[in-house]
Amino acid sequence: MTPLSSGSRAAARGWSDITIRNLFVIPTVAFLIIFNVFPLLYSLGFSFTDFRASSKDPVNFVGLKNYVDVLADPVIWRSFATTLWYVVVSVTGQFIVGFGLALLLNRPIPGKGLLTTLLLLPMMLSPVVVGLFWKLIYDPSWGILNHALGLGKVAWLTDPSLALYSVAITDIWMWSPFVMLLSLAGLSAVPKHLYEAASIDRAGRFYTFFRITLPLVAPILLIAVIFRTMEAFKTFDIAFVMTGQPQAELISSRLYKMAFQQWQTGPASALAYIILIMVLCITNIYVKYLNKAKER
Amino acid sequence: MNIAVFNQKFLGPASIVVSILGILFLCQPWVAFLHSWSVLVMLIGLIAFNVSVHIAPPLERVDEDDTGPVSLSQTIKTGAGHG
Repeated sequence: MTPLSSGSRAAARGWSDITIRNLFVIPTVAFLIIFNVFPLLYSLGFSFTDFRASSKDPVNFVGLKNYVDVLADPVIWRSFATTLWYVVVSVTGQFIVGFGLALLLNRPIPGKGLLTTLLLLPMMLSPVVVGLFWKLIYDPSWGILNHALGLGKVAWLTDPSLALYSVAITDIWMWSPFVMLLSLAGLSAVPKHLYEAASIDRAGRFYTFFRITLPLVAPILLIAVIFRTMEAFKTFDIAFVMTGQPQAELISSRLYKMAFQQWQTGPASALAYIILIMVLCITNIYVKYLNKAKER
Repeated sequence: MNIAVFNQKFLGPASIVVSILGILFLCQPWVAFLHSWSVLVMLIGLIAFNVSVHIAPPLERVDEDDTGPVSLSQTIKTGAGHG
C-alpha cells in the first residue's frame, strides 16, 4: 500500500490509505447487509414458519410444509406453466424481431444512427409507463389498435385467450431493441473478408447467412436469449398493470397477491425462494455460456 | 480419470442439464409429480454447478521442449506435423 503524498489533506489529518478505503467500503457493505442480506435471510426464516404479516398470532415453525403446500397448489402450478409459455412466446418474438431489425440495420442506409436511436427508445421507458400506454392502445372501445386494424371491439386484455399474448406483444415491443443492439454488435464484428471469400466462391445468400453470419453471431445471440429469458421469468410490472386475468397470471403476480393481498407471508416467502432457485439456475446457464463466448 | 477431467467431461455439463430439467419440471403443465420434485432437482443442479466451477480445469500436457501438441488427434486436428 503506497502512503499518501505528504501534501494531501487526508495525510494532514493523519489518515492512512486503509482508513480511507474503509471509509468508502464499510458504509456500502453495511447498507448491503441491512437492506439486502438481512431481509434475504429473514425471509428464508419466514419460509419455514406460518407467519402472517397482518396477524399478531404467535409464529410457529412448520418445517418444509410451506414448500410442499406451494408445490402442491394447482393455482401456483398454473402460474408457473403460464410464465413458461409467456417466456417462450415473448423471448421468441424478441429474438425474431430484434435479430431481423439488426440484419436490416447492418447495411449502409441513410439516417441509420437516428433510426437506431429511435428503435432503442422503448427499452428506455419505465415498464409501468409502457404497460399503461399499451393498455390505452389495446382498449376495445377507443384504442388505436382495433381502429387501425379494423378489428371491431376485440377485448385484448380481458379476453382470457388473448390476455397473455397481448402482454407478450408489449414485452416484445419493449425489449426487441435490446436483442437488436446485441445482434448489431455481433454482426458488425463479423470479418468482411469472409463475405468477400463467399462471394468469390459464388455462395448464395442463404448459404452465406447459415454458414458465416449465424455461426459467428450465435454466441452473442445466445447470451441475449438467456439474458431475456432470465428477465422474462421475473416479469411483474407490465403484466400486473395491464391485466388481471387469471389465465394471464405470471408467477411474480401470484407471489405479490399471496404476500400483500392474502397476507400469507410464510408460503409467499417459500414461493419467492423457489423463484430465486429457478433464477439462480438460469443465471448459472448464462454465466456458463458467457464464459464460452468469451473464450471464442 | 482424475477429478478435474471428470468435472470437465461430466459434472459441469450434467449440472447444467439437471438445472434445465428442474426448470422444465417446475413449469410444465402436465405431470404433477415432476412439478412437486422440481425444486429438489434444481437444487441438485445448483449445488453441482457450484461444486463444478470451484474445481480447477485439468492442466494441458505439453512437450518438454514445447514444440507442439502432445496427442496424435490434436496433431491431426491442427494439421501440425505435415510438411
